[in-house]
Amino acid sequence: MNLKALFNLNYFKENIKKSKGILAFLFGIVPLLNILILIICLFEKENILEFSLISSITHIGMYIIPIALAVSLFGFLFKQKSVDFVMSKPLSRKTVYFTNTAGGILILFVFLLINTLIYGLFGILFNSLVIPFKLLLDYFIFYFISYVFMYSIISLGIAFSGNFITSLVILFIVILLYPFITLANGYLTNSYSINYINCTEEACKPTNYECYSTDCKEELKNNNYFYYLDKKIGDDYTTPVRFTYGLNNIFSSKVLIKMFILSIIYLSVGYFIFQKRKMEENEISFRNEYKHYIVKSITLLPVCIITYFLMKEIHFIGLLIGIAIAFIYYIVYDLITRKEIYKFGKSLLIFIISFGIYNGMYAIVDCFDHNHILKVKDIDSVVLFNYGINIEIDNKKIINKIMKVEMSNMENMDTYYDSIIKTKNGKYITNISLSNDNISTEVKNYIKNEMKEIVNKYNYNNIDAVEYRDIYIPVTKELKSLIKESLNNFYASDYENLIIYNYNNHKYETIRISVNANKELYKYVIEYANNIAVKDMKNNSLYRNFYLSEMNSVYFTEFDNYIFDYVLNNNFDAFVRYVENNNKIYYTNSYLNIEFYGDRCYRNIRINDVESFKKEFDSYKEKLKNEEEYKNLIERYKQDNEVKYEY
Amino acid sequence: MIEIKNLTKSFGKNKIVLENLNSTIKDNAIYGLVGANGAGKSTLLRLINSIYTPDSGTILINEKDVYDNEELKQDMVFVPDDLFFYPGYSLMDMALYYDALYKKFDMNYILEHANNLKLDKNAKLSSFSKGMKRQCALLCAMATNAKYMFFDETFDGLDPVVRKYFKSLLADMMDKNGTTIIMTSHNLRELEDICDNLGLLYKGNILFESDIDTLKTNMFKVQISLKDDFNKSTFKGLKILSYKKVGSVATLIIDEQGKDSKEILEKLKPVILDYLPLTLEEVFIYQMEALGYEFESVI
Repeated sequence: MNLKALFNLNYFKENIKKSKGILAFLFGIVPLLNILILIICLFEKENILEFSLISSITHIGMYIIPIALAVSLFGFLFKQKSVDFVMSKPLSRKTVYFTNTAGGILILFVFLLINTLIYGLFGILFNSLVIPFKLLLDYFIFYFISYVFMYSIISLGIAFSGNFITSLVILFIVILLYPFITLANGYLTNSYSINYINCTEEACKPTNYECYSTDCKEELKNNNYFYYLDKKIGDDYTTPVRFTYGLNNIFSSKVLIKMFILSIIYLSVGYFIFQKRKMEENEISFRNEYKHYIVKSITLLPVCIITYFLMKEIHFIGLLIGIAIAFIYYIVYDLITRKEIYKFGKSLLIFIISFGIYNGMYAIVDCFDHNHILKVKDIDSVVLFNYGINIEIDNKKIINKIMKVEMSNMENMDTYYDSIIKTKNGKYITNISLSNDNISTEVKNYIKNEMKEIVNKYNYNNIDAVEYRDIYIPVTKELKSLIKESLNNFYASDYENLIIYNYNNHKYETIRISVNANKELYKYVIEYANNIAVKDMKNNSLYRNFYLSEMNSVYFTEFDNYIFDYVLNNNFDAFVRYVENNNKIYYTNSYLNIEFYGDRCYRNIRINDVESFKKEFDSYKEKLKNEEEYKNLIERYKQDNEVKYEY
Repeated sequence: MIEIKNLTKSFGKNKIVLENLNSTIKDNAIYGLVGANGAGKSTLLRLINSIYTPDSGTILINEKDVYDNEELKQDMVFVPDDLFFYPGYSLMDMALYYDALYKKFDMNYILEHANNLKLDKNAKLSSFSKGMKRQCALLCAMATNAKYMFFDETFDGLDPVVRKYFKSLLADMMDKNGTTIIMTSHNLRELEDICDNLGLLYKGNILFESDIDTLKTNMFKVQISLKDDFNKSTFKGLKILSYKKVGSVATLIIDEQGKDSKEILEKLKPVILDYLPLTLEEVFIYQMEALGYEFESVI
């Protein structure tokens, strides 16, 4: 096939000319909106790691732009007079389809390229915007394929139906039917399911398993232990659907390949349909009544799940209400797509058949035995999430030990590890939680070693962002080398961690290392954090609420803490000067943390020389001692303490 | 030459619009296609222009199948009854659109005739009247210099002056380029003075077709009176399509069929013998009557 001959450049240019509105939107308004969002983000936030926020316009655009573009290029099929105009021109059907399809894809390519370049440019110009190159590349590739995917379906829908509403219906059917079926199936099979894990080996048998119901006791005879199972669905959903369902990890290679292949299939089917289509089929939804009935009946499937549950819950009345709802939908569909109630008798017959089949299907799925028994030996691996590090454990011995603990402590809410279980058939992935207190030393050491290995393997040359207490510290060579030197002490408390981000394999990989791991690292990070806090104090004058997060009781009393915010706010300039002049941080066990909330942020200031600050604080108090409000505070403090005492 | 062979087109099972239609349209002529509303005129033009796909049959232009033939379509242009213009487009924009797609498009033709017709080439077409829009569509089509032009309800909405202007443009085009024009109308009088050939489409088929000159030179209305009493059988040597006698004067519609009717009638030594010309409408009426159709049901 000579592609060059199929693509009519003149026709494409004319299409561009007549689509000025949408092109102005794509190449003018959207990039401007993106720039506006980037600017707002730069003003609103110190650092931005959430790319989904920055790219929200192109994200929403995924549902609008391909549709608008396809309507602009293939929309001539909606009216007979425009069909006459275009199809009478010296263009073959192949040329019309290929030029519009390739042209549309080219427009989407340029559109996403422009936006990618804007993000890239902002990322280069502003350090606070964390946009790694790999992320930009992923954004471009995944969004481009997703846009093409949507474009291919809507083009297919238009070629198939020649009616805008029906094209949208076809789009929804193609992208949502499979997710709907899996969700409905999941809901019907999960709602009333009882799940067990089968364990016959001593290594995984729970030590203190508790069982009360008759069923449970019966299952126990076969070494089946009751378990909460959540069937994880959506891994194979296409990107637009993943967005809709709010699923994480939208940049999945598996899904990308799936969308790419499906796009080629849809475009090929669209080509075939366009070649064979009857150009008199326009304005109404299908001249061919069977196509109309088929599409209409498919859309009845999700409606029938409502009627099924109505019937199930309120029986006969539910059946009547269900039939009424479904039938009203059936009539409304005709009115929208054909502007008439189409062949009432035949419609009624097809409605009765479809209604019966769908509700019957739901009933059959619902009636199945929903008990799932998962064998411990069929567990492929257990993935633990610990302080941002994913540890995938495939060691059978350790898996057995983990399951033993898990099944023994079902009511334990003291979660340290969120985990998932991957089974060999890949079907059941179960949310479990493990308590650090209950796992054996062997498991703990295993986890620690695994984490160490992961930390050691971490590519410190590709650090994209470093976070400390909501502050993103610019990634410099010095910081990288300090982090590298601190490898051994990766395990730390929640607040004193540095979270290190590296965009790899389509997602941010994170590890945490203690800020106390290295004296130089400590100095570097705390000084930077203090400077940012001072800067924010100066900039955000709208609202401050100072308090001592870790009070040093040697120097400060409860009363000091009570009046702390009042005293600092009334000596604000002096306090800022003090912090600026005393920001020589050194590693010490004795320090003071002052926290405050600005109008948009939370910050922490660390004071090394507590004694000196105490003197400074006392001098502030001295200045305020004659103030009425200060006196009132003292009174209120006394009253509060008396009330407390009375209780 | 356009050859239509066994062409059938239906919209759904029960709605056959054209059935086994056969026709030949010679080059460098204006072919008028007449028929009642819904006779299939527009469908036939859409089929020739590859807009619709035939259920069966073929349409050949110079022995090449026209269906989806990009090369052949360079020499074909179609102006439908229901005109379409892109929103916000002016005559100039439309001309540029045609210019991009037709290799032989003549922009000067548009400029010259838009000026003559006082059409503002830069004004939005949406602000034009129905007649002005049709003028624009016709000009754009004619500027393509296509060898085959198809016009559906060609002069719909045009005033008599503009109509005459376009008729002369079409005649010029035929002379200069050897263009073949196929135009439809449900109004016979509109086509009478411009078409070379006429075809009557009725119930999905060409009921009758002929060139106008032959039609007009072969059929006459004759008013005759003889000394003696006479009736239709008196004229048995002639093909009489219609016979009406009022008093002693009879009005005959005679189809000559190669015979010289005047010579035959003069031999009867008539008291009155007047040969009157027939309008095209009358020719059609009598031909249809001869075929057994009521003219009102056909047109």
